[in-house]
Amino acid sequence: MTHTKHPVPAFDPELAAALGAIGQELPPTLTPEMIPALRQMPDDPTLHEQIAAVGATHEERTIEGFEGGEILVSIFRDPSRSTAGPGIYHIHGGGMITGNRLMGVAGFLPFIKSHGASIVSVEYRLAPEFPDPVPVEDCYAGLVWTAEHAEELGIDPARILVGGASAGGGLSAGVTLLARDRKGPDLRASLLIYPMLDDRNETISAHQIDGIGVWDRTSNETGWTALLGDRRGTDDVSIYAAPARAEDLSGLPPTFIDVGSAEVFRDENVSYASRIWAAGGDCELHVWPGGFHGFDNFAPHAWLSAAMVETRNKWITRMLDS
Amino acid sequence: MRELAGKLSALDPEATETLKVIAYFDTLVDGRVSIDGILRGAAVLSGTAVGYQPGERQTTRRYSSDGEALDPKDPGSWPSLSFGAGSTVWLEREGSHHANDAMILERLAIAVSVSTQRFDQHAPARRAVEILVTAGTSADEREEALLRLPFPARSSFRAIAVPVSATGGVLPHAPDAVVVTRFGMARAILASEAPGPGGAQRLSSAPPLSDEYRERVGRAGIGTLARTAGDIPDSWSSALTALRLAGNTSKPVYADELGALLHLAELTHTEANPHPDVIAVGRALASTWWTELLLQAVAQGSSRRGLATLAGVHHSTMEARLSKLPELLGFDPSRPLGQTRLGVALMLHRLTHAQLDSQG
Repeated sequence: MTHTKHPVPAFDPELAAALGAIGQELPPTLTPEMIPALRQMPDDPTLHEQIAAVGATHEERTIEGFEGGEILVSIFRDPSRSTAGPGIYHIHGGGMITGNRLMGVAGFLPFIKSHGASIVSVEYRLAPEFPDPVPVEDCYAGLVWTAEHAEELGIDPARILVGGASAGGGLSAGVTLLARDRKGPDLRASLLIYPMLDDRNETISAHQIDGIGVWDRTSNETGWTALLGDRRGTDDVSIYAAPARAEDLSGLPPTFIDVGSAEVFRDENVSYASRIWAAGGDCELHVWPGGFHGFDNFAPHAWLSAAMVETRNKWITRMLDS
Repeated sequence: MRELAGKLSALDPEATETLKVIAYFDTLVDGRVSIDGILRGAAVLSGTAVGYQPGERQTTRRYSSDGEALDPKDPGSWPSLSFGAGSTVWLEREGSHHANDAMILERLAIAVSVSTQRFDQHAPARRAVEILVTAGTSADEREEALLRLPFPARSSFRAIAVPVSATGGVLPHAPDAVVVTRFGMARAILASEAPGPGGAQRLSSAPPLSDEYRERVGRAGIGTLARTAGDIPDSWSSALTALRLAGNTSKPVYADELGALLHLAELTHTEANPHPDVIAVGRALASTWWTELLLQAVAQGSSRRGLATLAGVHHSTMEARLSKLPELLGFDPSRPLGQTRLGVALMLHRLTHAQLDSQG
């Protein structure tokens, strides 16, 4: 097809300034040969302190993933609590191709202190070595394990929230659909932080974000192709791998979606929310103007980032409270 | 791709990344980010806490290197930069300075300064006054500037120069601006003047130039009439000259009343060295015998007795002093031409030594 340049919403100035200052450390376009380097990103060195600060411990378990493969889960909880609290089942991001279970957990740690939550974060196996359906099925297996071990983990099985960002948001949506269609586990809520939902990469926003911002259309193609191979964009893709393809979005738990207006995932996220409403469902959608992908994490000092995180945490609080 | 980038922290402490710093703050200013946003951005970029004090003894705002608000605290001895009317920004850098610290401070000061002016509702009027009193601006610029000011159509104008310290109350509704002149800072006020009943001239945006107004305006230079916006720079120039001639009086000087002296005074602006007559007047004033007031009386042809009374000395003493004056000045001020020379030299001396913003 002919390549046409699309006008793009301007980045929020605080985010644009941050991106301009260190953008070269994070190129907008990620290609398959960059995957090994992406996996070298170091973990947050302060995570241990953050865990200790909320009075929690970190425990690792090896559990059975898809088709009996072994996967790791990390459990963060306050062992001194005697009553069951809500469970947060966390799925990390990284475009299906990178990342680990410690990535993105920090933002949920405060709920251990405030709500007595237990967090389980799953180390699903990554594409392209483990293509679809391994990642989403590993995530589902981890959720089933979490629900089955709820009592031992101090989790009230009626209050399990599944959530994650980016690819972790897409996998959370997939796991939510699996839980609906396989009749369990029951989910209190589904938290989709700028989720990666649509392998087709053909929305207007997927065309707008091309060579700019964070996680552009080529990066998106890199991630989806790693996951789906030749099946990407064909009819041979399940709704669990690419939840944007689900025709029926009824019967879902309360869902939260937040996304920037200047990122690839904008349109597929807005459309997902619209279809949940069309099916009579409960969805809270926030589109943050001028936000690029993952801006809240990239530039947490920016006003927009603070507003996004605060809004998201209020929703989580509401879900975990009851 | 959460956490791929990690924190936007410190630029390379060793390398100067001037362009990056400039672009960073330009983006914040162009995007109309709040002052707090600019301060947060500076703290995150520098990797150290920053602070801002809008004015002396005003509450400070501080942000940590991760953009969290900190308790107010004075700048102390941190590396700081002052700008505008007593505003200060600083970087709370522990240990040795980083290569970009000075540049970050400078761009932070500029960004905060631009941003504060943007929220100042008087700023557009101030800028308009600056443009209108400046010589060499284009007709388009003047036209646009005029539109920002509350002047009636087809009015004439008068520029008024007052010391910077004279604020408010002079002409409460007239737009003003502090402008830099070659003689120092002065406050420029623009008044419109429309033909009143009976052909009398009056200031339409202010009380007429009555005695009451003269009292209120205090030390000031009232410029010549500008019939069009293009004449305002001339009016301003004459107002400045009049202000400088006002000396330590507390009354306004009217450029209109100076006549040819105004022309003469303005010619001397361009001269690097004072005329020998002016130097001679300076010499006389440096002696204990003569004051400006006394020499003015001499120039006005006052009698020996009158001068003696003014000086508080015996008339024979005054006579002895007067007899030495031709030698001191290099001309005889008792003759008509000498009186004129002394009067002009006194005026030029005052112009040479005038301080716009002091009473002396």
